[in-house]
Amino acid sequence: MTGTASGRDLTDGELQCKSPVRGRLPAGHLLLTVLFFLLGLATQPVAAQQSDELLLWHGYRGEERQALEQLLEQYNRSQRETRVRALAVPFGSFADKLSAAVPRGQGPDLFIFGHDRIGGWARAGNTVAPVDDLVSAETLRRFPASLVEAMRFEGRLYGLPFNFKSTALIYNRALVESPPETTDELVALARRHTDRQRGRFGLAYNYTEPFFHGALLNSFGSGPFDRSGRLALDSDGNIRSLEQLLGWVRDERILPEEPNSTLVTNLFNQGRAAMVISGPWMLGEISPDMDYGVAPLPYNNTSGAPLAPWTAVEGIFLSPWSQDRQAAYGLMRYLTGEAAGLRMAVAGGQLPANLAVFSHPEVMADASAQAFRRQLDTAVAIPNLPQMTLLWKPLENALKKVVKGAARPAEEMQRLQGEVQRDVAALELAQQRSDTPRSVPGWVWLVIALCLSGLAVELWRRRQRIAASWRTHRTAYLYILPAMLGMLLLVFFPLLYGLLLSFTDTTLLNENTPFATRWLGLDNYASILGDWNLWYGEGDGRSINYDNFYWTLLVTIAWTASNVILAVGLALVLALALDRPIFGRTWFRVLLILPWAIPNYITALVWKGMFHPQFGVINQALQVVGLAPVAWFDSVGTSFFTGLVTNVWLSIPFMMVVILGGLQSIPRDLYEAARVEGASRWIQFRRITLPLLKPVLVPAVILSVVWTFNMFNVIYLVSDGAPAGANDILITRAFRIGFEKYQYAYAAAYSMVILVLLLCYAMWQMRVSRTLEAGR
Amino acid sequence: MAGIEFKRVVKQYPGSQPTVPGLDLCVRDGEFMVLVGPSGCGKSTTLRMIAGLESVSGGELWIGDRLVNDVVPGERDVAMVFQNYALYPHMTVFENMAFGLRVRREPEAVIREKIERAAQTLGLADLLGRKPGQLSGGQCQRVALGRAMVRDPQVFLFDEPLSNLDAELRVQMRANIARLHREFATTSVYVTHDQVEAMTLGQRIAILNAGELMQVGTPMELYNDPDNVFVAGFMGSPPMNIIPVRNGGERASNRLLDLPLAGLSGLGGELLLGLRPEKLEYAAAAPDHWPRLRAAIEMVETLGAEMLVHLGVGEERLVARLPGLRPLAAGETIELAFDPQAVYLFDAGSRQRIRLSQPVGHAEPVL
Repeated sequence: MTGTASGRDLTDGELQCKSPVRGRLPAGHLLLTVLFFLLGLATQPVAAQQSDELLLWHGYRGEERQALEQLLEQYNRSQRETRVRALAVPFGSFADKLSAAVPRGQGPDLFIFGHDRIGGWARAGNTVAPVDDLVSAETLRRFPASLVEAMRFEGRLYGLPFNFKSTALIYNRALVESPPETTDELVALARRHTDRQRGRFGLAYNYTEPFFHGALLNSFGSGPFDRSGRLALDSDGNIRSLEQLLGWVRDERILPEEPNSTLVTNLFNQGRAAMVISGPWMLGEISPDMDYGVAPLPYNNTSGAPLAPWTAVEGIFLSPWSQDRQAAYGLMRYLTGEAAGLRMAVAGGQLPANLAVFSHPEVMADASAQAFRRQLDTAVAIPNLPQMTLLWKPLENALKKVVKGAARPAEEMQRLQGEVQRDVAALELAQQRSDTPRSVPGWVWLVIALCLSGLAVELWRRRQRIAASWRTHRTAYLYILPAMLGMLLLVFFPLLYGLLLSFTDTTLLNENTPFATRWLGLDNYASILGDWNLWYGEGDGRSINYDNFYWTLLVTIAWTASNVILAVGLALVLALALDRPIFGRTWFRVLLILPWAIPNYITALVWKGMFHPQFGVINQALQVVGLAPVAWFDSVGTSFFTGLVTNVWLSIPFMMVVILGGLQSIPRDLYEAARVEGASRWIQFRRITLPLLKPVLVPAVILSVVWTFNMFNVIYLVSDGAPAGANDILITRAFRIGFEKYQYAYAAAYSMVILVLLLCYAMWQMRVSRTLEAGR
Repeated sequence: MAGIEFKRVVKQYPGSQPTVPGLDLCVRDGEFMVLVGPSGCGKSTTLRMIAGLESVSGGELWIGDRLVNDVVPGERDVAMVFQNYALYPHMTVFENMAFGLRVRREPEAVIREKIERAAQTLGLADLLGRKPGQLSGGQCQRVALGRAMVRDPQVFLFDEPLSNLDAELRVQMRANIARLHREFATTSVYVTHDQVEAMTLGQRIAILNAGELMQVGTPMELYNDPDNVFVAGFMGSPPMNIIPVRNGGERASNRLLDLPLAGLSGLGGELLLGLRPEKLEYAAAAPDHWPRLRAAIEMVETLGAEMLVHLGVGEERLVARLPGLRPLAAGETIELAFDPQAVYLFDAGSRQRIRLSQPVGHAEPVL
């Protein structure tokens, strides 16, 4: 077994994972072992090491999956030495499954995945094995040099390229006779086909997503990293690519606003977008009666080079734990061979990395495939550096800011360079730290020991009561046992794990190193709570630092307060209206409760669509009554408003039902008595309705506050924190830190802070309601 | 203080028969009037119209010299005591009693004084700081009374205020209410379905049936001189025996009895004869000229000093209230007699009282 890029001794790691019974075992590892033992229970039947067969994980679905499985069947029939079994892993959880299973000696022998993770895996170690020693030069000649290069990291080859994907120009033949050769032609053509009044556009693509912006970015030849692999986001070329995009959006006005994949596909299918930039994945979604063509992206007159989209390479990777490397390599060779490639291309609709396939008559006839093949000549493989994974989201935010005119390209890229550099530095620092062996400080063990002995003493003191209780309620305890186990595994264990994690500096790059080497203490908390960088810049140019914890806390509190006040207020008004015998009361009740029956993410997405500045019904309605459309997601206030409206809409049904129940439990004769005593409507409401509603209102408000405080769905799906994270609440910020910046420990500490805040609130609220209770 | 007058007052809910088809009734200033009748007779609706909790669909309703058809409840200067007390559960006894006064923005000092006086009268002084949840039913009802009293209104309205209390408390509260009325002499309208309550409390009683006023009068007027079968059957416990009889011109008879009566000739063939159970006596001790009847005992209810004897002959049923002198058993046949002057006659069709010009008992009894 060869060592990994990080240079750590593999056998040591293997020992740690495979033999948990060692003398001095850190608690973190014990917990991890328990967790992965439990996870392992679920994946046991597909763990590869126990059997002689090869296990292959992939994320394919539909046709591609069928094609792959047929190939594997054929392979199993063609030889007797090895049997191959495939497991389709849901794509969304594929990456997590890999990084959870493989470094711990579980999971597949081989897996098919995007190449852009290679750097991260290699750095983290134990996830993917280099294959230089297995692969012959002859086999490598099957693939173009650019794709092979994409599979290399720090001089070593990790896996073989299988398929590739990039964007190209897809155009509507009814509108565009021949595809443009240059961007000047493209813009002129697009301008002719743009009629914003009727919602028609010459060109549509997901230009605020970095993957799609790659075409412009790479045509200036710079890319996110310089030749030595250092981050260079603020390079001249990158800034110019943003300026060119800005020109298309704001001067030429040939692109729709706030694009997303669904919008682009819909526009194209309705004939309202003459050309789109998209990849082979879109072809299946184009309506069957649409006559379309695919062409390589044009030459960019501004940069003096062709538009060069990103290529994502699907590689076949080898697990470092695979026992029969030769057999595994045999399968890699087979799958990247010409025959297999042909089947993947014809039956699976893939673009095989083995380019010989494209000369085959069956594939020659496929004009789209050939166009994507030609695009490969100018395309650029996504850098597989570990830093790349940190780049997507910040770059997307920057792109959105620039096209909306909220920032100038040069300034924004300089700011972005600084931001990403800090994130990268944080990850690298954590990794460097964990390279030096350390042990968890003694006081931690002391605290744990004190807690455990405290618990033991308490249990011992109550042993008689516990024993008596057990004797009398044995059956009851048995009944609640499953729930207790469930709580233990699903609530208390993750909570404890999260707490431990928050004292470390665990990131994407060092998550597999021993727990002790990641120990950090209270630094994460100090960094969160001591973050007083409230502003960017100086003097007139200064702006609020939206990433700051206190800003986010302020937004969260404003968000919670405004939501609860509005939702409870409106629900109260509606409930009061529905409490009296008005016409069609039953129907109104059903109608008002209906939003509750719809999953909240669907409602959130519907509202997001309604707030779309160009195609959303709200702006169209505003225009009908002669008002100016509002760019909802461009400013802090309006963007906050979109989330507020959505969440109030979602909260009202529950609140209304609760309040209605409360209203109906108030005896009618109290109102009659008050009327006879001369109390006006308002006094009846103030002095009778409200006080008597308190017993239902107080718990409803408590629940509502907790739910809203942590309402991830609405923020993430509707405004997504726009603009530039200004409207993120604590929980979405924690998510971004964990899954966009990959600083797991920092995110865990963030979550703990949220937990403590909510705990304080709950305790305060309980005190308040207790005094209310006592006063009744 | 003021009287109340109903002039052809109608209450009708949309799409249904009128609950009160047209009521004429006058409650005199300072009078304690009881509205009584079976459930659904419109007595509560009538009371709620006085309070203003139900609108008046037709006719005129006057309180004092004010037409109040369109006056909101709060401006009618009435106070109401509800069956379920209707105390505000979140307020103390003091706050409950102060509510109406505070709504009227009376000075706190005045409020305090009034409440303390009322609390003294009603024995609530120690309970002022408690909440209704901590009080017994009787205490709650006293608070409800107190809340009405402190308002010092022109009219008190009581909507079956004692029906949620147990029998003993009810007697006590009845006495309380009667005493308060003697003391303050405020015009009061009291709704109940219990004729004992009506008899003991009311200066006058109005008997309602199906929205119609059957008769108004003092308790003894109603008892002694009922206008119709309904009133006769409603007042008194056990109720008056109503026995169908044939009009034989000179005598009214059926299988039980045969009563010679003068002046029947102009009347219809079917009559109803009313006879109170307490007017039946053992034949042995009765004057000779009293009519007698023999019947088999079906059931005996022994009440100690007296007993209720249920008799039956064929279809006819009678109840007699007899002194509990000797034990009687079901199946025995006994002979009873009654004072012929105690007999009431009603028309079988209209069920109205027939007042004969000649007193009933003057005919010679033959039996």
